[in-house]
Amino acid sequence: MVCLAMTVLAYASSLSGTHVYEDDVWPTWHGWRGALAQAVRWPGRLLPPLTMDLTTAVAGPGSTPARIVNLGWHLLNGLLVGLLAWPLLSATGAVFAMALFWLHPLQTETVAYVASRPELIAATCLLLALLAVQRGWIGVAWVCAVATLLAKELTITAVLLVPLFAWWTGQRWSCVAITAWAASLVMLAIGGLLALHQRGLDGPLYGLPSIRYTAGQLAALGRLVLLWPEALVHPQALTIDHDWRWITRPVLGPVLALWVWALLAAHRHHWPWWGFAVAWTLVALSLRLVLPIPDGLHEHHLYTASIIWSLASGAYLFQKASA
Amino acid sequence: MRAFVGALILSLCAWHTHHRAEDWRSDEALWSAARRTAPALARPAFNLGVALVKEARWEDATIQFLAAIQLYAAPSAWFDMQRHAGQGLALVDTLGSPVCDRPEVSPWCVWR
Repeated sequence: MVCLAMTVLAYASSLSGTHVYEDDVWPTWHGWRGALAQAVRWPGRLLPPLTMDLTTAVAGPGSTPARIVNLGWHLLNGLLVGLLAWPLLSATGAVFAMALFWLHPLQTETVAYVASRPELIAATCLLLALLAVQRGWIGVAWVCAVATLLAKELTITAVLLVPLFAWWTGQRWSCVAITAWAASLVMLAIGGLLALHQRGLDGPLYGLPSIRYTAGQLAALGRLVLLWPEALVHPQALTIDHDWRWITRPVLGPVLALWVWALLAAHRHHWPWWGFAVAWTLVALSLRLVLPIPDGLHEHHLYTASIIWSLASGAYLFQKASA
Repeated sequence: MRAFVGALILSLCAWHTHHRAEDWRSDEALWSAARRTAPALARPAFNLGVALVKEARWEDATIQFLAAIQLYAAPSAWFDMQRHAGQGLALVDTLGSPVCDRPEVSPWCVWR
């Protein structure tokens, strides 16, 4: 309760703010009729406009109700993180993980920015999927993981994160479950490629995937990952626009080597918490690392990754070396 | 000891989150903070200029649009900073003070 109150107090100053940046665009997300019509053509982002419409219908227009809903959603996600952590960590570690997820300054961009509502909803779907798989409800987990498509297209990586989490926590699925899950991955991948082709894979907004692009994104991701500890002592490093001009050709090789080394080291040490966090981060952001989207990497893209970072932080501080 | 460290970390987080959340109160606060963190980037300057136009702070907006033009190193296929910032300057000239008469501004004013 103390941590919940601290979270509300921490964000209280932003609740009465105005719409910022893309908030002016997103609240006109065509209402629920437009959202449903869009969902027939392209399933992504059905839930965010529905929630925005509901907020407006209940509490009126304006940024404050939307920001309050964002904060409430973040608190819900924190509770789910705590529930997820409970069997994996000590009681104190689970509470700490939940509180850290709530309070970490890196989350501010996701919580205070109304246009980040898709990230919040996608994280909820993912957390529900992880909780379901923790209880052995693989079918429910699949439904929840696929439901992330209705929040934000690129968070469909949840269908990779769920089996990753199951494997790391020592679950062993039946052949039927593995085959069904793999088949759904293939179908989702085909559907995704068709949708990308329909939108013009080689059009002005998208280029072809390349190792150089992925290496550049990995460099940016590495810098953002460092913000997790850095924000505690140097919060001025947090910004909506990071300066990526240091990512030049000479940097790409060492960056790639560093990430590969991290994965190999994690494998050699039998995937401790930090190793799992590295793998989780790469899988969670895999589509952004591969697809040449001009959006770039921002702090709110790390919201899903911060789930495991919070758990790992709780594990290391309150001593649970592996699950 | 661990409990103390945990409480310290959470307190630090809460404090920094509170201050960071204040940056998200308005476009001006957000992009001013971005300008402080990344002063060599053009986009925060441009967006700060847009925010200042909304607040009718014409002189400050002009400064930011000119900064955005000067900071933008290379033309982009999907965002022409010179054109957009130039349109911003033209907007300031139309709605506020006649800045496009100034020698340092006139080359950049872009009219529709």
